[in-house]
Amino acid sequence: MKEYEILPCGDTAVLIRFEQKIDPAILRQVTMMANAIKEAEIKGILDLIPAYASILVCIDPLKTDMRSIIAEIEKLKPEKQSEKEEQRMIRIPVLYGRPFAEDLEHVAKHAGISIEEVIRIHTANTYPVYMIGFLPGFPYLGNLDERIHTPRRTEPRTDIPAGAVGIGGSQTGVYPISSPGGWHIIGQTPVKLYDSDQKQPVLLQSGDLIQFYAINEDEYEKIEKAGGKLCL
Amino acid sequence: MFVKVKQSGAVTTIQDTGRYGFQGQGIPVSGAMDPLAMKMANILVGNEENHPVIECIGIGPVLEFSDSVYFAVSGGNFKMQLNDEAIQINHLYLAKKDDVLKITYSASHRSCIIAFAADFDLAPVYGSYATDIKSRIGPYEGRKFKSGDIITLKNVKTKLPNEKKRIMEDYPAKEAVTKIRVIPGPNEDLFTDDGIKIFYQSIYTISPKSDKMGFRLDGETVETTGSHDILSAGIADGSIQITSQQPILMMKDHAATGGYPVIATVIRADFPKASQLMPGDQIQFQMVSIEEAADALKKQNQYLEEKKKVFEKKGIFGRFRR
Repeated sequence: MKEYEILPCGDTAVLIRFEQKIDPAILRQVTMMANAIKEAEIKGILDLIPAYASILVCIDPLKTDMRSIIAEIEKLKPEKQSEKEEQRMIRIPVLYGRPFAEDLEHVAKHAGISIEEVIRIHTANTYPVYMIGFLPGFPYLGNLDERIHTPRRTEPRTDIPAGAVGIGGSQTGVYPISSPGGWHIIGQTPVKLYDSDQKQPVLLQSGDLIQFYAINEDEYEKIEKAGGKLCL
Repeated sequence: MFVKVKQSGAVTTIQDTGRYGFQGQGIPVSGAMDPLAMKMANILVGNEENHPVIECIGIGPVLEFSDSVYFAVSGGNFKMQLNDEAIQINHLYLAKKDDVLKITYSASHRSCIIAFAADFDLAPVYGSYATDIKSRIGPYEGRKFKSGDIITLKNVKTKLPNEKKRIMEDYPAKEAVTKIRVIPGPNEDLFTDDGIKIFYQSIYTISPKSDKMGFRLDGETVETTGSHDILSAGIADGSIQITSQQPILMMKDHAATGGYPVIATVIRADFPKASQLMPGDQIQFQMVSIEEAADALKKQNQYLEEKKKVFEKKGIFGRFRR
């Protein structure tokens, strides 16, 4: 049985849509299909945007047409990678609370727990990266502990700085560049998730596992001075 | 040789067809807002269609030339002059040493493209010359030009065949209501029948809150069957997202992914026309099939191919001409 449908997005892209839910099993299907498309080197494909439960395939309509792209994709038999790829575990240092982050108290108050408890919970879980998008290098993370889910701010901030660690509803994540946003900011990382001066500008990729750990101001400064690199 | 930016204009950047291959990492495709104008200007000066160009949005720049170079301006109907003389859009000109090109504004269009018969002496970033100001990616420090900038050119073409014939048709005057053709979906299934009917019957107005990321459309709201939130997914150029307040037509600097349902997507052939709409302009969407979209694009491309043939044709005595 087919696990997906293919829908046109104008004449310059098609959307491969899987069952619409956040689920590691669906993400695996997405990854397998994306790999299969890359390997097939289908003529006229410009770009792929894998997401939670879909892949947008951008095409050049002067080099191919919708019908043949759809037919080529349907021919593919995505398979699991023979060697199971090792998932990367990436530990991200975070200076929780002030002076950078103003919403830690609010998140604690909303959850009815102490600030220390929020930090303990936020650093306890491992978060899978489901997709990258919205901003350059912005990771959509799953698995935030329900106790610290916090509805978004009613008034979005106009300028959240790069490195801000936030909670928005049932999601948590890090802003790679400064941006407006409605998430509660609970901490700040000195690590650059996006650096347009690097050959590989984006630190994280879909499939990575993330863990946050708390640092103090001295450690923050040290990492920042060293260029915002991960301490491996 | 070089071109000196005497006045920067509003948003003047280097662009090409867009940065493909990095949207999966959240990096916007960006590129020329009006891809047809980019192709026309490049063909006029004998370049490849997707050669890097200068894009001017809103108010154009004042540029001074250190030496001779052919150039052409295409796209919106901007007022411009070379030194004190008014010049025309979609014509070929030869700028000489110390000449000043001044592009002011257009009452009816949003952007225009300047192509030079030369290469920029700059390196592409992640495979492209497109500039995305927000992500600070682009060959010129990832930013728009400011007064005093120097743009160095190399490989300047000193001779072009059929100079006098290098003219293209201007864009037709805007209709009272601009008709833009779309293909339904990919999320049409998330809208009620009434919502879909309203979307195609409505005349929307381009909001002043519009930029290269997207055009907000003022007008009737479109009803969804459920929530306006969907699982985030990749976004194509020309997607029309429906938020709880209004439709947003996604332009070239749109985020790579988004979480609002897309009721329909503008066809490639009409994207340039849509990109030129100004605040207050009226727009109505027309549903077409995939085949009609392909035909429209083919027709547009045929015009460009014909012009290319005329421009690059070598006369029998061509090699004797000086």
